[in-house]
Amino acid sequence: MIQVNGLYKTFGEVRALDNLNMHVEAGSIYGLVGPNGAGKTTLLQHVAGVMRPDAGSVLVGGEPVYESPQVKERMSYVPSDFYFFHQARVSDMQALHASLFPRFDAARFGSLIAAYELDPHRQVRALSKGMQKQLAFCLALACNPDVLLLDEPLDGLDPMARHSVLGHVMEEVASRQMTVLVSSHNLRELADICDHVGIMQDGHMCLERSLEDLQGGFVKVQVAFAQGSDAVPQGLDIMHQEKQGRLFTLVVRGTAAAVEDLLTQQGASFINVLPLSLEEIFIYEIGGAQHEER
Amino acid sequence: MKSANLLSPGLIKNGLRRYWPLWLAGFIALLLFVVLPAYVSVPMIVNSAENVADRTDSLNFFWSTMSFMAWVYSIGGALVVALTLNDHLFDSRAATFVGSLPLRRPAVFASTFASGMLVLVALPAVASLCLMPLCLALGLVFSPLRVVEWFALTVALSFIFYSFAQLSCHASGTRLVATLIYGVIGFLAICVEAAVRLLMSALVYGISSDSISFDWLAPAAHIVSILTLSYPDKSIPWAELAPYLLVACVAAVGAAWLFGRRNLESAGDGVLFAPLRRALKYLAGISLALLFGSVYRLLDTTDAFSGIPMGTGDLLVLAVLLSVGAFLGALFADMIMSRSTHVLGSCWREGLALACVMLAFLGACRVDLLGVGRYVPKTDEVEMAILTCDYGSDSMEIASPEGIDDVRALQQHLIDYGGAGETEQAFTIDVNYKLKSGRFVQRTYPILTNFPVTTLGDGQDSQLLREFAQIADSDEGRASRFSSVIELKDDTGVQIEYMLENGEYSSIYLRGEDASDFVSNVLLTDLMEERAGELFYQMTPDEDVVVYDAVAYVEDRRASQAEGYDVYTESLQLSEGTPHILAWLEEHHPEIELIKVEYDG
Repeated sequence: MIQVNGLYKTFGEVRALDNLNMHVEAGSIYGLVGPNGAGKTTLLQHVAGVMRPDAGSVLVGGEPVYESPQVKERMSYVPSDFYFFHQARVSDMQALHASLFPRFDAARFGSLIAAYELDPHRQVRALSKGMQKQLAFCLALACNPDVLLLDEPLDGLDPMARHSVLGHVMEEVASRQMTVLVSSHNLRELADICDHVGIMQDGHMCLERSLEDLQGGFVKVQVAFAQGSDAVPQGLDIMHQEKQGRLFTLVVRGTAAAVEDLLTQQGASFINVLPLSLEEIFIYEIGGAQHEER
Repeated sequence: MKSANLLSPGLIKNGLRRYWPLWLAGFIALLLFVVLPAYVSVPMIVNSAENVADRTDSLNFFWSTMSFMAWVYSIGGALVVALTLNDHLFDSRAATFVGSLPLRRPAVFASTFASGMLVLVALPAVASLCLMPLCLALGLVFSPLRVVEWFALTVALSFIFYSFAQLSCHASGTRLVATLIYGVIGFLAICVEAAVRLLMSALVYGISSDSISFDWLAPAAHIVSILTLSYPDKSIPWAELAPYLLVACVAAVGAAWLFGRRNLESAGDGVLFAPLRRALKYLAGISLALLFGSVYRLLDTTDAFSGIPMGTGDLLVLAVLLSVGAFLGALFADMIMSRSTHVLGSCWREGLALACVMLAFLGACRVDLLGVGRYVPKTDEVEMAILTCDYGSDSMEIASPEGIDDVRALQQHLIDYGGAGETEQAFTIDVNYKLKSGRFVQRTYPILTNFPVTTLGDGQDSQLLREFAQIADSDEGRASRFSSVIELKDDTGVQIEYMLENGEYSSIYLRGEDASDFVSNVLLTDLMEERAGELFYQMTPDEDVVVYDAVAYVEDRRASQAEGYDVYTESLQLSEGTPHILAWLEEHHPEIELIKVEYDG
């Protein structure tokens, strides 16, 4: 559904995107993670058709998105800090979206703002930051988009609102096969909803996999050897290691079974495979111990 | 499909609705612009209903004030509207929002442009509708055509300035820089010209700063000058506004082109393109240097407009001010554009270079490196020479080659003479040339005198004055001194007005051949031969009426019927210098008794 090929973007002397490639399948929820300054928002703004690529292409549904109203009509973009016109009331923003997005569903918008208890006659600036975010979601979902782009969608929302917003998004994905591209620092919540994950660093995509493959491709294991060896086990693609007494804690690339087999062959007397969260994968993949120390 | 439209009604409606308090404030201001001139002018117009000339003056005052108000409204309103409706150029969040909407760039631009123009047109339209009943209510019937014309003028000016404002906004990413660019487009040329002339007058003998032409390169200043100078006696100068309308179209297209090519993420940046950033920095440096220098020159109000160059002590101060101004201007411009005060490290070299350029400019002017001060145009280059002396209020236009040669010789003599010196009492001779290429050469030469002169050639520096007087007293010189040529048409009328002893006015009216005969054989003849004298006549038709001054109005009746008055006025004291008028009065109005009295000063 979304295809990004060899994307470059430079701001002055800073290269924000550097030969970035990404593929998002239709109907999937794609989580975009990366450290601050990795280029996630820049990438989202390219996918939303806001920014013009220096080089490369961004295709949505097989069509270039930049300066393509036909493509943008089928997309909604909720940036981390949504813009509302000065003096606008909730109903004004509704009217504007209704006039621009042919698939805007006023009834759906009405039911959504009712669910969030938003008064259509209130001025937007009188709403709290969280309520403004909810309004942005209502507007985006009421456009019935095929592609929903979310940049830090849960920032500023209380737990109830987070739950509600994610619930509405999941509903849309389940019922209409909507594609969602979401960037967030809250990796635990991303792990709950995403089926694909892309990890970005320094403007390029380090890793792009399904969540299942990703979590299956890394192992956190505690191991000890009977002879009391201080040597690090050989033959493993170790991303991170710690040692306490005779006990090694290792984060390695590979499947749990393969790692267990290798350690057994090397005479391990104790092997304990631990679950690895998306956050841990992100931390060790991006920066390992140095990133932790920072 | 909604997105295929060039205009987005939703965006237009949104633009109009969200700033309604601002539009309301603009409308109230515009109504005041309509009411205030009416409040001032209407009583004058009503009081002068029976006096054609006064009524004409009052009407002209009203409409020229209205046209000036249209200029004020347009130039201010256009900028405010452009700055408010173009949020997406200045605010990165707004840019992201607008960029994600299913609209092409041309549609966003056209919708924003259209909503702004709608505001700028709607307000004067309503004001015009209010103007008609207002005028009627005040007992004065204005031609509806005039109101429509005023509305058209306001719309045209709004379009011109709104296009310039849009171009300024689209060339920048902050409101402050957009406003600066708007000022540059509208006024900079005139400001730079004024400042350069002021500085040149401080450095070069013969360059004066008292006559700044409102150059077309400064549209805002030029437009207001053609409106206020041309409008009262003629009508709205559409022909002179037409090029600006064309330029405004180009500016609008240019703004659309810039919007199509600018990156939306540049919202909030000072300028869009690196070369523009550098150019603005240099421009700011030069402008501030000129401003500092001009202010210092203006502090000496006596010398600033007299054409007397500065002495050495003042020049040193001027040099310091110019270099400091150039350095600070570049520094401040960099601060504004980079939105940081930490620019000294990156900017000091450019600032220093600019300061050196200004010092070089000062030195080059002082030694007249370019020969500006020594320049005397060749006879065959000159279409007309215009000679004026500040104690003889009338200027002479000399067109014959012999006369131009005389003027050139006088100018060369003045250049060799070298000026009066900064502390001397002086009066001036202006030597101006209109060249065949269309250019003007303007020089003002201060010359020495120790006592007031009343007759040409009586000054202390008699050689120069006699030379001037010789040219002034030639046939061509005398004819051109009264070059406000009164065109005689079939329906031309003459009104000779004089004040009575009780303070009231009385008039003599002439029409047809009588008017032509009076103008050709009496009025112009006396004007041509007028000499200053110390005796003048009082005319008394009876014992209690004294006429001590007479004014002749020549009125184009056809123009007056269309409410477009075309009146030439000549005012003169009756004296021994006006023998033809005195003779005419004795012959045609013997009831007016002429009494010769001593002039009491």
